[in-house]
Amino acid sequence: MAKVIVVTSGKGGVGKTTVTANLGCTLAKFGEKVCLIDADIGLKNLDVVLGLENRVVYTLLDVVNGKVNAQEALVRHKQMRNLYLLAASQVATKEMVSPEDMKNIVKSLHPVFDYILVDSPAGIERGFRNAVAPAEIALIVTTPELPAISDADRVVGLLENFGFNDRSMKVILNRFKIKMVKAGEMLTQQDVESTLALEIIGVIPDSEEVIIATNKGLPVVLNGDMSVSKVFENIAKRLKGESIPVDEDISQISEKGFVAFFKNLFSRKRG
Amino acid sequence: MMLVWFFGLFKRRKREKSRETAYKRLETILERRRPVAVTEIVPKNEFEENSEKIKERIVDWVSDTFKVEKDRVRVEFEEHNGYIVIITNVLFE
Repeated sequence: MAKVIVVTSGKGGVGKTTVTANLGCTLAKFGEKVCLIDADIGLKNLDVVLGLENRVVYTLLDVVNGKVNAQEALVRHKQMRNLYLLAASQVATKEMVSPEDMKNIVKSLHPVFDYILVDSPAGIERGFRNAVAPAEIALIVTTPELPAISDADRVVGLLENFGFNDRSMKVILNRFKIKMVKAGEMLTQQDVESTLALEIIGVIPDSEEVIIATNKGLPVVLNGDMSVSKVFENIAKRLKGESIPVDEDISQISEKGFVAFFKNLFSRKRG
Repeated sequence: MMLVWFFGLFKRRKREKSRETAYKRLETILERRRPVAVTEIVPKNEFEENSEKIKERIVDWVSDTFKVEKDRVRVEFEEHNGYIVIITNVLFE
C-alpha cells in the first residue's frame, strides 16, 4: 500500500514542483515504486521539470472523465524506470476535478505503488483542496522569507482543519543561503521551526544547478549538485522512518571549498 | 555636557541584522492570524435546527460578559467557503 504525500506551500514559486520531482526521483533511486501526480491543473509544470512533456498522452482530466483508467494515463520516466507521472491538463481548470475524484484516482493507484506524491498548486482554493484530499502526509515547502512562511502558516491552519496534525505535517525549508544566515541576514532553520511549530524534515540549499537541471529536463538529483542530492536523500530517508538530524543538511550546505569541489567533481554524472 | 554630546556623535551605532527584524515581524504576523483548529464539525441540518437556540445562548453570554442589555446584542450567521461565520454586534452606550 502506498504512502500518499502532498507537497504544498500556500505561496507560489517556493519550489513545490522541484521538490516533488527530486524527492520522487530520490525515492525511486532507493528502489521504491513512485507515482507523481500533478494536481496543478491549468498551470502544470511537473512534466516539464521531469523532461516528460512530450510523452504525455493522457492527463488527470482524462481519468476523471473516464476516458482511461489511472494506470493507463501514467507516463514512465526515461531514466528511473520505477518512477511514473500522472500529468495535469493544461486546458482544464481546477474546478473540473473534485476532491472526491482525486481520492478515487489515488485509491486505484494505491496497491501498485510504494509512494504517491501529489504536487499541489499554489493558493488555498479548490486546487489545494483537491491535492490535499487523498494525502496522509503533508510536506509544506517554504523559503526562509516572511511572505512564504506566513503563507505556510496559513496552510498549516487549513491542513489542521482537514485532519492533519503535528506528526503528519512536515516542513521543507528551500533555497537556504548559509552565507546570509551566517551574516545574520536570513532567518535560520530554528527560527522557521519555532514560528511554524512543526518539524523541519529537510533544508535544501539555494543552488544554480536546479535551474540548469530544469533546463535539461533532468531533476538535479539525477544530474547535478551533490550537496542538493545528499539533502534529498536525507529527506527520503527521514520519510522512510530513518532518524537523521537536520543539522546534517546544513553541514552539507556548509561544506564548500577545496574538498567539496573535488568531492563534487568526482561524484557528478554530467549529462 | 557639550563634550558628551560631541563624542556621542562618533559612537558607532549597532545595526540590527535583518534576520532579527524578520523574526520579530514574523512573530507579529503569525500571532495576529493564528487560525483556530476545528475540533468538531456540526452537521448542517443539526445547525439549522438549533440556530435560534445558538443565537440566544450567544446573546446571553455576550450580555452577561459585557454587561449590556440583550436587545443591544445582534447575532447573524453567514456562510463563507463552506464555513459558518458568526457575526456578533454589540451596541455599547
